[in-house]
Amino acid sequence: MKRLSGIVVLCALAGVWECVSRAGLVSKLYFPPVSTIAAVFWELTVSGTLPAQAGETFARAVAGLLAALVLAGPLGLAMGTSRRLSALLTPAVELVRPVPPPAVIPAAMLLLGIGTGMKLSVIVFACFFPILVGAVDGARHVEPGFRLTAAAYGLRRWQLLFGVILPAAGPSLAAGFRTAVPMALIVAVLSEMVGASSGIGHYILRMQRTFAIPEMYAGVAWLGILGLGCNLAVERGLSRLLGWHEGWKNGMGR
Amino acid sequence: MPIAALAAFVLSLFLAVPALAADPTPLKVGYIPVGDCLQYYVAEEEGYFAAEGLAVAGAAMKGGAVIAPAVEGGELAIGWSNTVSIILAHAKGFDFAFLAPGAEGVAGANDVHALLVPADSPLTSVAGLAGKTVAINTLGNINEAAMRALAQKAGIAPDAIRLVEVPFPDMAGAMAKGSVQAALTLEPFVTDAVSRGAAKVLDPSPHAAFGSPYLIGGWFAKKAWIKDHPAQATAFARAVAKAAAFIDANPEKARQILSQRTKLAPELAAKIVLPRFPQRLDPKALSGVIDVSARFGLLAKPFPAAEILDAPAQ
Repeated sequence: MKRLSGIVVLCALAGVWECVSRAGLVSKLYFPPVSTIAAVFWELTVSGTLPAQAGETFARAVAGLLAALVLAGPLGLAMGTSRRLSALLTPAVELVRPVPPPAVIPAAMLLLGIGTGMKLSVIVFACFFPILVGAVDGARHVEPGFRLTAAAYGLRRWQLLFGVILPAAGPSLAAGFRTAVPMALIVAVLSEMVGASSGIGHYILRMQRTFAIPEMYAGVAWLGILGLGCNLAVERGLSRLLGWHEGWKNGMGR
Repeated sequence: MPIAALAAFVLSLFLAVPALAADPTPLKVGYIPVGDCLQYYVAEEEGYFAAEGLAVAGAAMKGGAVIAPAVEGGELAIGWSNTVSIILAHAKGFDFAFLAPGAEGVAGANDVHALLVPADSPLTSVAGLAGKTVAINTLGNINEAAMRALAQKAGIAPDAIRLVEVPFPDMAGAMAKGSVQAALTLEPFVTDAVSRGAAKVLDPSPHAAFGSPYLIGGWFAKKAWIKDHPAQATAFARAVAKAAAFIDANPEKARQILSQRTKLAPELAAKIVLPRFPQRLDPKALSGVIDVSARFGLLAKPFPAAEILDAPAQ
């Protein structure tokens, strides 16, 4: 029922757009009717043009996201469990973390050129900090009782890490990861808008440049669907991983 | 009480309008800060706009593909664009037309564009660029059409060269980094890179396919705007035509103005190739560009050049 009313609202919005555009209240060239965009969207999707471009963007985003997870996850857990390491790194992290990822694109272009290396490193930069902060918080807030029990049973360090800290930090780490997912897509698209020759960001820019406006909107729509799909997939995956967790069940997850 | 205050404020706005109308209405014009838009600087410096009763407010922008939306939206009345962007916009149903010519290219005489490669590049011909990456300023513009034509002439597939968008000032850096293997750029960047020894010319006339002369770009507006503002459109066209005549007659002074207005080193401004600035719109200078755009799929089918010319009688 809830889902149905959501769909009704969506259809109503599309209807308003269609009417506003058809009535000529806005420039029909810049705001083509939804039906026109939908037809172009379908055509470009069936022909494989948009899926191919979106696929490239998706691959870059996933590669950057995973690299960030591999880098930031362990570092965050280490910082969350070691006061000394945390004291050492926190000032640097807090200084760099607020820098908006798009702002590092010009610098990355100067350092790394305009190739895949530049794009990936900017995505890694964007995803690194949400994951790091999630991991630090999660590891820091492991209940002291768990640690004491683990110590009483003489657990080894790796046993402590994989048996106690990682599961306890799971929801917080997952929250950081979920924040990083849309960031990865956003930055992947942004990085494709400078000096790229492929990817959905490049496609949208190119269509704007050649005044192919319905095609441009179709590209944007694909991005929306891609983002939605990624979010759903990540939520499903995390629910499966963390479904047993009280904190996750009690609303940290949702 | 707040309602009364609001009403008074709104009323004052209406009263303010006639007061403003006494002064010349500001005419918003978009241009690109490169040598191709020299007319704009000259018309300002020499007071041609003011002499025509125009209070021109200029906005320096990145390229025709960015200026066009601003003209369509009404933020700008008149803009400068390369010809291909206007050709494509027309094909997509935009109501644009050139009202005055901008820069014109004459093959062999005043090539303002050049295809550059790094000075140490092993490449000696365009054919060698197959599978390589070349920088152009904006996608889907006159330089993309030119690159496709160059590739075909060199005997490789028109889309065998990868094109990426890099702003003109960043192209030399992108070449030095190895991100791109060549760059289609224009003055003053050609003379700058070559005289610094950073680059060499791979093709000195990359726009030869358009025929000669060909219109590089011009001043355009919405046809509806031209129809509603015939006096302003004519005045503007006259002012830039005067500027064209001035550049023709006083190239040294024109170079000085360019150097001052674009912060270009005077030595460089003295050395660069200047485009030719015609005083009248010639449909023939446009049809070659339309044909090439159609040949390489930027345009579905060619159309008569007259469709995008709306030069007011001067």
